[in-house]
Order: sequence, then C-alpha cells, then structure tokens
Amino acid sequence: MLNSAMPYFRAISTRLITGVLVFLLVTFSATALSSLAPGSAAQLILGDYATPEQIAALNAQYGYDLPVWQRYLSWLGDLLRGDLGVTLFSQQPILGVVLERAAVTFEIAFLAMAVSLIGIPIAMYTASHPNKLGDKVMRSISTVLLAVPTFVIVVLFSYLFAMVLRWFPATGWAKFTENPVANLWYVALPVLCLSMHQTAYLYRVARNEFVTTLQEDYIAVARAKGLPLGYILFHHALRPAMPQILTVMGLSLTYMLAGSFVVESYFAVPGIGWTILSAVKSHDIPLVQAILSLTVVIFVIVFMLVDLGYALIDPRVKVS
Amino acid sequence: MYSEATRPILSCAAMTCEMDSVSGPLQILQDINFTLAPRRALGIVGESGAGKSMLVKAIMGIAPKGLKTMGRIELEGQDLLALKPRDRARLIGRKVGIVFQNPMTSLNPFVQIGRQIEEAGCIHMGLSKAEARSRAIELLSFVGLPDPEDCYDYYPHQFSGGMKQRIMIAAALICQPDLLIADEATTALDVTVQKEVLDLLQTIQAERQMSMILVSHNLGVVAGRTDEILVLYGGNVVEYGPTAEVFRNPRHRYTEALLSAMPAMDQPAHTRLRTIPGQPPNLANRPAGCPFAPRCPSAQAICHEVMPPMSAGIHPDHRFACHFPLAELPRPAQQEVAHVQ
Repeated sequence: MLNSAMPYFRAISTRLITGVLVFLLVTFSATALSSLAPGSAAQLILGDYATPEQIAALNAQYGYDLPVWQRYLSWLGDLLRGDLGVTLFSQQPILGVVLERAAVTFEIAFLAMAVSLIGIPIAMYTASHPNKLGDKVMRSISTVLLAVPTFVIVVLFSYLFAMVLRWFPATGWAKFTENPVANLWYVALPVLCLSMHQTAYLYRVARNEFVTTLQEDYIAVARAKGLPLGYILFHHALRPAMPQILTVMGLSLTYMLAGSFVVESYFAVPGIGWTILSAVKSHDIPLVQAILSLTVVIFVIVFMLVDLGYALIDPRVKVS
Repeated sequence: MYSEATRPILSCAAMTCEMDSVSGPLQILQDINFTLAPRRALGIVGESGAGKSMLVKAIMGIAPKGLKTMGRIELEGQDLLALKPRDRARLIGRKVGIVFQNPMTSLNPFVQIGRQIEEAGCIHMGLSKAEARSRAIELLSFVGLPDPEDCYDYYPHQFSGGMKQRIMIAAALICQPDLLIADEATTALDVTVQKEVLDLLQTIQAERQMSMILVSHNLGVVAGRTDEILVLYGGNVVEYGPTAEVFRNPRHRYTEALLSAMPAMDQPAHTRLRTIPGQPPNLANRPAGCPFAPRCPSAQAICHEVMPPMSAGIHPDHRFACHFPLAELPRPAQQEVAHVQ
C-alpha cells in the first residue's frame, strides 16, 4: 500500500515546490507593480492632492519608500507569521476579509461548475447520435452561448428571471451560515449566468471528445459484443474522454474564480472578484496582494488536482 | 428445411451491400452466397479492398453508418436483417465471437482486461460477478496466459500484442458462441506469434465444436485450417469451394494468380514471385463484366461485357464465376489435403 502511494507523494511534493516558486514570482510581481506606477506608491494611494506630510506618514506606516525587495521580504515575513495586515481604508484585518469573500466566490464557482456538468451527459447523447436533430440543436445553442459575452447574459437573465418571471432576486446576498435557503435563492442567478459559458464550452469539448472516442476500435469491439449503447457510453467511452474533460473543468474553475467579477459586480455579490475590483480602484495595495496570493494558491492546487486526476483516470499515466 | 444437426450456423443469400457516395450508390458487396455448417471453418480471402472486412461487419451489424445491406443473412435460421438493431446486436453478441485485426487498439486501455472479457457474459447471460470472474480467469488460462488470476486485474498496456490477441479471443469466447470470426486476427502480429495464435484458434474451434470464419489476405493462413474457402474480388465471390479442392485445382484465374503469387518452400532462393498486374477495381467505376477482366491475361471480349455466372465444377460444392475457367484437373484417386504453408 505504501509502495503504491509513494509516487503520488513524490508527484505532489514536486508540484508543491513548483507551486511555491510560482507563488513567490507572482506575489513579488504584485509588490513590484505598485512601484511601477508613476509617482510613489503612497502618492498613488493618497491621490493628487495629498500633502507631503500625509505621504510621509503613510510611508512611515507601510514602508512604501523602501526598495521593492525590502518591502517584499517584509510582506513575506508578515505572511509567514499569518499577518496580512489590515485594509488601507476600512482598517479591517485582511485575512478575515479575504477568506469571507473567497468563500462566497467559491460557493458560486463550485455551484456553477456543478451546473455545467450537465453538459457531459448531453454531450454523450448527442455524440452517439451525431447529426441528428438533438445534436444540431445543442450545437447551435452552445455556439450562441459561447458567442454571447457574460455581461450580456447577465443583463438578459436578470431581466428574464428577476424582472419578468420574478423567480429570483436581481441583487442582494444572504450568508449561507445564517440563512441557507435565502442564500441559495440569492445565489441562483449569479450561478446560472456564470455557468452558461462553462456549460457550453464543456459540452463542446466533451462532445468532440466522445465523437473521437466512439470511433476507436475498442468501441467497435464493444458493439460487436452486442453491449447496449448506454453501457458502452458509460463503461467504454466516458473514461477515455475524461482527461480532456478534466482539463477543461480545471481551466473553467480557475476562469470562474478569477473571472467572476462581472457576475459579482452586476448582482452585488460580496465575492472575491468584486473585492479585488474595488481594491484595485482604490489602490488598496495590501488587499490586492493578499487576493493575488490566494488566487495563485488556488490555481496551483487546481492544476495539481487535475494532474493527479489524469493519473487516476488513465492507467497508462505514471505519476511523477 | 434443415434438421437441428445440419442447419447451417450462418448463411448469406443474395447479400448485397451499398454505400451512398457523391457519385451515387457504391456496390461494396454484390450477390454474396454461402453457407457455413456447424463445426466447419470457412476462409474468406481476397486482397485489400475486396470487401472481406465489410462482409464481416455487415454480418455483425457494425458496418459504418450509411451502409445498406440487402438480401438475407441467417444466423441459426434467424433472419438477421429482419430483426430490430437492438435485438440483432444482442443475438450476435450472444452467438458470435469476433476477434479483430489490431489487438493494440481493440482493447480499451482504460478498462481492466478481466472486465473486458466478462462484460458480454454479464450482459447476455446474466452471469453474477463471481461466476463471470471465475469464467474469465478460466478462459485466460485456456488461451494460454500465465498467472490468469493476476492478469484479470491488469490493464491492456501491460501485455504484448500476442497476449492482447489471446485476451481478445478469451473475450470472444465468454458467451460460448457457436461461431467465431477472426477478421485478419493475426495480420498485425509478428510471424511466430501469428502461428501461435492461429493454432490456438484452430484448437479452440475443434475443442469447443464451434464454426469459424477466418478472414485473411494471406492464403497460407486459411490453408489447412479451413474446410471451405470463399475468394472475394472487388466485392464479388469469384470462387467458393472446399479448401483442398480450391487449392489443388483453382478454376478462377484470380484464385490461380493469387496462389502462384505465394512463395513456395520448394522454390530456389531469389525466385521472383509472380505478381498480378494492375490494381483492384475502383468500386465507383465498376466494369460491366467480370471485375477481374481488366487484369486477367486470358480475358476475352465477353469478359468485359458480361458478368460470368457461378458455375459448378466436377466437385459439386466447388463453384466459380469465370467465362474461361482453368482446366479441370483429373480427380486424384483419394482425397488429399493441400499443404501450402
């Protein structure tokens, strides 16, 4: 048992080391970015009408006049001690803010992910009945969904579901921990809007993958054995198509985590995308940096899971 | 009407396959007739594009979409073309085992081989998990895999080509079929392994009292392993008869040309093999007469215009479609079996 777990252990540790390197690179760049802006960072934060005294006070507090590497090292040291500081304006502890907002985005992204999985069975069905009516209809629908940008979908859906049908609220939020039912009610429209692209994308990739897989010799063998279509699809076609689907799911998840700000700002959902947007606008550098760090960690973890997923799905893939 | 004992396992009557193409329907197979009795082996030979694989696929009902099959195909008296596709697939899955050409791609790389062997048994015969497992392991050892218990859980990439083909054979046998079809089953293997697998097929056929169809472009493969032989050319049967008879006394000029294109043991080294000039017919542009006429050294005007009918030789089961067949050899005093390989 230990022997079979060893390669996984090694694979995970090498990926973690790479992940740490990526993390350092991205967070350092984020620190450096604030120095690249014209004028000093303190000037940027305080605006054009700041007095030299205000700037000096901010520099004394946050060290924005120090060289980049010094600032970075001190930020890193604080991070290791678990201290991310406080937000510049509301002076709340950053860790708490980020975790609370991230939880909201995670909820939306994972639910949207779950919704988009519906694309897989649809892809299975249409791939096994190619060029029939269902296939043509689904292909057209997915093309339209992919062509319409999220910010248009958001407007259309909120008009349709919130204004006309009045099924879901147009804006607002309830915490899951306080009122789960209201939370799901509020989350429905953002999730639906966020999942549309992913569903269409996942559907298209999965359909093509199934069409290719269904042309394999071993599918002809399975058909010659007289196995029912459903059995062939689930036992012989699903697993070979999974690596590709998994890749898309990994990319979709990171896309949704990083790109949820459109949906979040439209529906006034207090998620991470909305937070980073306002943090960037108000030059809240510590907050931006904290969110970037979290995003990097999530990306590294997601891609690591996808890699491990390949090894679990395909017996020919050796981990390491 | 046939009695139970002599009713053919498989028979094709006036079977024709058409495929739609840009230039109108293509006749892939024309007027195929043959019967295969229980416990007999039939060889189907022909060069690439003769329609061998299409014939097998049309019988199995796994031909590519767009292929129309007409005529009559009977499996143990059951008209296959009259069945609903689902019932037909189930019947064939239960009664016919098939081994395909390329063992490298015929096994699903994502599924343990034990599962691939037993699945048809579970579905068609309702075997329980334990029964299926023990039967699969039994078959694995029967086809000659060492440590069948362990092999059961292995994935296809852990086996060599020859081993994979043995696994395919085991999978074809799970429902105890009455007919085993080997569609170029050894073509992708190297020569020594080819012989092992062919011998295995022959042993299985004899031991399990099955009928067998050996499809090959290699006459040496079917010689000595089949009772009857069907020679296909351009989608037509050009010669059909007892294997020994056809090898001893080919009547159709294509069969004769094929036979003399084979290297023989008694030839001196560096003997040039005879080749057949020209190319197989283009199905989109089929000649009106005999499909072999454009390449036939003895073709006359009539050969290019009129399709030769099937005629019988002295041996009543030996038939061929040629206007100017080769001369009939005098029958030997006693039947001898041709040993060609």
